[in-house]
Amino acid sequence: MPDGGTAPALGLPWWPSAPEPVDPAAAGVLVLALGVDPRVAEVATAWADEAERVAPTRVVTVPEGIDGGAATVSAALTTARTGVRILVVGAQYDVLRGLALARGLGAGPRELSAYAVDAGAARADLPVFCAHCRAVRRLHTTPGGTVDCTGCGRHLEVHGHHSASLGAFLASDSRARELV
Amino acid sequence: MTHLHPGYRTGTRPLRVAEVRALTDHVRQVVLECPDQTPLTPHEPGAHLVLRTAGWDGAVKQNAYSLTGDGVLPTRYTISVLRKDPDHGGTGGSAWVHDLRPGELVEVTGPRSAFAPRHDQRHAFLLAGGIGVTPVLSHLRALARWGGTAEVLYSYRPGHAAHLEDLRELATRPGLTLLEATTVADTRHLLTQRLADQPLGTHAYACGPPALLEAYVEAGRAAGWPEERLHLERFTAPGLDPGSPFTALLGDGRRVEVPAGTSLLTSLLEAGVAVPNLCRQGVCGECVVPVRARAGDIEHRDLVLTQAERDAGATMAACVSRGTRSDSVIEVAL
Amino acid sequence: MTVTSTRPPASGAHPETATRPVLHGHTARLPWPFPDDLDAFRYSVNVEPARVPRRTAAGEWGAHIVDLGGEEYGAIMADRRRILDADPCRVRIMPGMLPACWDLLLYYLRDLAASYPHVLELDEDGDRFHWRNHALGTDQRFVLGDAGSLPCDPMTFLGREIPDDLLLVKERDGALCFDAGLVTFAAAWSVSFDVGMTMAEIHNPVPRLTHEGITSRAEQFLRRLPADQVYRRVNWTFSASGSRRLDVSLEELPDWGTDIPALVRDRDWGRLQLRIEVEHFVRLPMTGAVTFNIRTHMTSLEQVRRVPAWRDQLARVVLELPEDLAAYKGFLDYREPAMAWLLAGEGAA
Repeated sequence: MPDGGTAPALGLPWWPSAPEPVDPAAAGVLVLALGVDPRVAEVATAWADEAERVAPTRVVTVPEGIDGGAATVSAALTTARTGVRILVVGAQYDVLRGLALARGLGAGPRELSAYAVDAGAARADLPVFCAHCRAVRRLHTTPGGTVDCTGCGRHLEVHGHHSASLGAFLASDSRARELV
Repeated sequence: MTHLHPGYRTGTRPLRVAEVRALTDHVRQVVLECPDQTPLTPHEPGAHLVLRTAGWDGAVKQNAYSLTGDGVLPTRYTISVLRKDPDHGGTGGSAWVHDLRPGELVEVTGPRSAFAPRHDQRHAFLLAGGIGVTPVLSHLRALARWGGTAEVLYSYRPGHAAHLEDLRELATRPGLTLLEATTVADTRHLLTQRLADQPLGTHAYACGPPALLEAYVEAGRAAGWPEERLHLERFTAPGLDPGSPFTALLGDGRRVEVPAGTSLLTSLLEAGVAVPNLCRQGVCGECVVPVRARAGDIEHRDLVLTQAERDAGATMAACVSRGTRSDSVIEVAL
Repeated sequence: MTVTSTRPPASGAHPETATRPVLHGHTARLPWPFPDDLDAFRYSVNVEPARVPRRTAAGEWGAHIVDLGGEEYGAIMADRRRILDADPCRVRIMPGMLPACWDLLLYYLRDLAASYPHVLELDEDGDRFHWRNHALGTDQRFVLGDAGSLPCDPMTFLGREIPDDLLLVKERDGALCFDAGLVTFAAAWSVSFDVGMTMAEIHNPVPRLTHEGITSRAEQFLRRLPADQVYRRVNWTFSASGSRRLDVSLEELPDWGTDIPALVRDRDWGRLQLRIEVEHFVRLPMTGAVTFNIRTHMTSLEQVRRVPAWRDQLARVVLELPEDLAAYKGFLDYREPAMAWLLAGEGAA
């Protein structure tokens, strides 16, 4: 059971308040360090130090973030073997998209651990699925908040509902029910 | 009549023996077909069929056998049965099957699925020990059919390798490979080596004798595999033989003697304990009751509890599971 | 979509003694969601065996697992096909779910051919099939499992033949996951977003105290669904659209979002639509997947008002509903004036 961090909520990502310990049962460890925030390197290094005492460890640094670095991350995941534990660190957007990519390539919940360096921020870049664009957008917002969609221009309400396999929050037109 | 089309029957019904064939000295293949030519019900890979057989004492028995086909649109159901002698725990069911002749009718129930593949697996690792090859063959045939990839490790005694040629032929297809081991040492070595080298997203499936399954689970854990990726089926699928008499201790202090051949559920109901129940076959979960017993005193024969739940020993399916020995005492918290 | 009925004499005879309306096929077929003796509605796992015909005050429904829709079949399917052609995002099939889609297609085509033998035909020879739909003009030969033998994936092929929304759930690590869906008539949700989630995640997007969440009895029922019995369940609500428009998906929210606010502002209660969903649950044998197919029916309050037993019962049920349930169903704010209109008798403003 997690101690501290955001309150566990079905449908919302749970963020630990500190990077979780490396699973001692791991046969290999893959650390994905996404983005250039200095805290990413700090966490990745600490994880790697701890992981090396448990199992052969590989750190993959992706300074361009998950969108630009998807190919690099995919390659690392494809060469990984079952028995691996995958530790993902970055800002929320990179981590949520990175986790979805890992799941799509076969990783299960017990093989994934994540730490977001901006989990405490009131608003952050988040992956948001605009139901009208039918696409995931990168928007600066918060669950329960509103934001303009960079795709269709609608003023979206970001619902407190996140899909782990899609890697995004759900959002829909916040003004659709307003009579003009 | 719950399905309009006859190709979905799973209730008890007669099938006709179309063919019998010796695969090895001790393994006989039996091919069953529908007497009225209607399509047979499709099934998941790893599914089994329950046959009504008879023991050497003449008593009616139920024996479950893995189907070896891919289950997609079967026109026949094929099982491969290892004849078990009394000194190996056989009570006559497999011998009864070995005596079947083409044209005879057999009463079957199912297919039932208890060892199915994960639909979202990226790759499969299949371990077969001895006659445990039968559900592995079913998995591999389905993988070949639907285009998945897999690695098979078949551990067998030379001369006693049923379906070896079938596996070798399938392994010539792209994405499917076969490794063979004929000694315990080789098997362990290969297991350790291969479980460390499966791509992310692999699920593993093992069927064979207890010692092999233990080695598999150990090797899997040592290789860092999460428990939910290590699937297994005991190669003697839960039969419904009478088992041992045992004692149930009720919540009000009464002791109920459960005879061999009588289920815990029946004994509890007769003692006036209301236990919800439905299928009486160990599949629906209605009759799962809270219990306390010594480790090893519970024999789980159901298809409902997870391995973790069985290990915890705090629940059991009253309609099929039993105490293991005549001195077993199971406290039923009802 | 016109409804015909005989009208009471214009001299203002009392509605109760007026000529009984000739009930249109649509109304006669409507799966009225409340048993005759129901006065108060509460949520329950109200599953029952499928294929059991049910009499209602206006007719009968339920003999088949698929209600094609009688004379409306063509129009509904035109709507379904139009949406699928325009918006491929209404179909989502997770990796590894194609065999389950074939499983679904086979079960349903076989059932349809047996249920509607003069309209729908399926010839089978091993894994080769020939499907003919004389109402829509489909004539298709295919080989089960051979993707190239169909013009589209098997789930889409089925979805272009029947009005049901198609949903498949499959177990992963002990949790049922909604891993394939073809949904054009979602009630304010998005199939693109929901596919891939566990049932618990879909239905409980509210904060919980435990990490694991609570597995509902409905999910337990589906996990244990046996192979030898087909079940169904009926849900009801008021539609978010003020017309018989079936597509009230989240994707199309900008199109229908103001429908009810406008209807309420204009007090146009007759146009309020009772939306009834009939769900069918089948354990598919080849893959173990479970269907959660949804057939949506709509009828206006104006139509309900013409059937006295329905009129009275719906008003009772809606007004009796506890506030939190009425709020959850979305009609807490307008149920009183709407039900007052319902009970006011024909011709009332």
